[in-house]
Amino acid sequence: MSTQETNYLIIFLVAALMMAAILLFLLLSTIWYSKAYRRLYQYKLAGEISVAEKERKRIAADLHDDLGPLLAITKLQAESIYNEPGSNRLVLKEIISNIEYAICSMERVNMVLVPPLLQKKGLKNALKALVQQLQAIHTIQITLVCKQIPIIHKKEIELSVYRIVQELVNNVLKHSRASEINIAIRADVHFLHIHVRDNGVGFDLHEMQQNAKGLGLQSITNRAELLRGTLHIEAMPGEGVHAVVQIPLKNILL
Amino acid sequence: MTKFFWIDLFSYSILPAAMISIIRYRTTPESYRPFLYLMILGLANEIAGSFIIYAGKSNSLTNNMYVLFEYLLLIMLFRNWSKHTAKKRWISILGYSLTSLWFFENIVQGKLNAFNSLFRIATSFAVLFLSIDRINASSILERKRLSRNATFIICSGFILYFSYKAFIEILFLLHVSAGKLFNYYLFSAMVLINVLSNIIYAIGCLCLPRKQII
Repeated sequence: MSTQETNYLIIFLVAALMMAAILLFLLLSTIWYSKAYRRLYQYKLAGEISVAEKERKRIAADLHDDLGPLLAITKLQAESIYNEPGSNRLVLKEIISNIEYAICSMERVNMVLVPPLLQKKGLKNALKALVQQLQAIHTIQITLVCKQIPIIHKKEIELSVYRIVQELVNNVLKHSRASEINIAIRADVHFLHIHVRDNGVGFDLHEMQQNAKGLGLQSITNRAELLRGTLHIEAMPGEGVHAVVQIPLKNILL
Repeated sequence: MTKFFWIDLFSYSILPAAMISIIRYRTTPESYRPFLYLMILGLANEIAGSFIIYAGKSNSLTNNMYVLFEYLLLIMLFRNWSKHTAKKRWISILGYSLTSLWFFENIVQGKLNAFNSLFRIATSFAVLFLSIDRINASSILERKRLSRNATFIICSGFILYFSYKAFIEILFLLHVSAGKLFNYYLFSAMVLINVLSNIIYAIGCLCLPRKQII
């Protein structure tokens, strides 16, 4: 090899090594910043969800502390007039039944806003209560199967899992016109799997993906992403919907 | 007109960026000031270099001083951009260590009147990597439009200039040459890249954010 050829080789090698070093650094830096971005995004999501939960708690407290006693007193007053002679009992009976209905509705809204059983008796019992409550209102058959659900120590994570199920079921009730909903929650070695299946009208998944996601679905995705989980939907028009959320157990059992 | 005259003239392409830096100095936030100083220092170096070379002397001394101050200003700039992050400390360490290298190469080894490559290569790579880091930070974490983002534009200029500078300095260090024609093209490309990066710096100066007065 002549001196000039050797020099060309060295120049080529220098350029190639430099290029490789620059590309390697670019790659490493991109990975680092992508992770940083993901962290920021999750902080933001956690913040938004926490604000929404606080707001729910506040509304529930307002309903419970202000509206609840007011309705109870009004009912007592109406009942006392009802017992007086010469009062229009028919109208009063209707007023009392309306107040009772308002109290029941308020309690139902409160249950949705802040699930009381979740704090006291854990996820499984809270979900059972949710199913019972929904079946009392809607003419729909809901089955719930829970297998090997681990004990979740962090209340906010437990609430997230509860909300995911709640939102998935709400979506079915709102859009599917289904007569049956099957909810299955089970855990294996690595993941917690949440399955919600219905026999409703279904939808075109491709069409839905092209349109903007609804608020409910976005909320489920956000909560799942916060726990580094995924949402997968299988749907066909006329064949119902099968939604699966998978959450890594290591993110639940912190 | 000699070839040197044209090269000298092209090196004054820093003039628009330096002029904009002077005009925009008072309205520019403190964090970007080192970049403005750098543009003005660049122009001063070109003027001093022209006088010295036309006087028939070597500009190695002024150039060695310039590369040190250039590096210190760049380190200050990147430190300002990385405020409130853990990287700030690493940038300072990088600044101190390569400044020590300059002292070793120029003072301890007594080569102040020669064109020393080691410091130039090391600083070029340092600036190159810091610029890539900042570009990634701007494009991934910031919401500003990149075409108006001064940090992104300035760092693009740095990447263009310092990658080629590192390449040339490595060839100098290794005493590699593939003939006169090759050297001619190598330096012509350097002149072109210098002009291009100076234009990018001028655009960067125009996109600098304004100081917020409360």
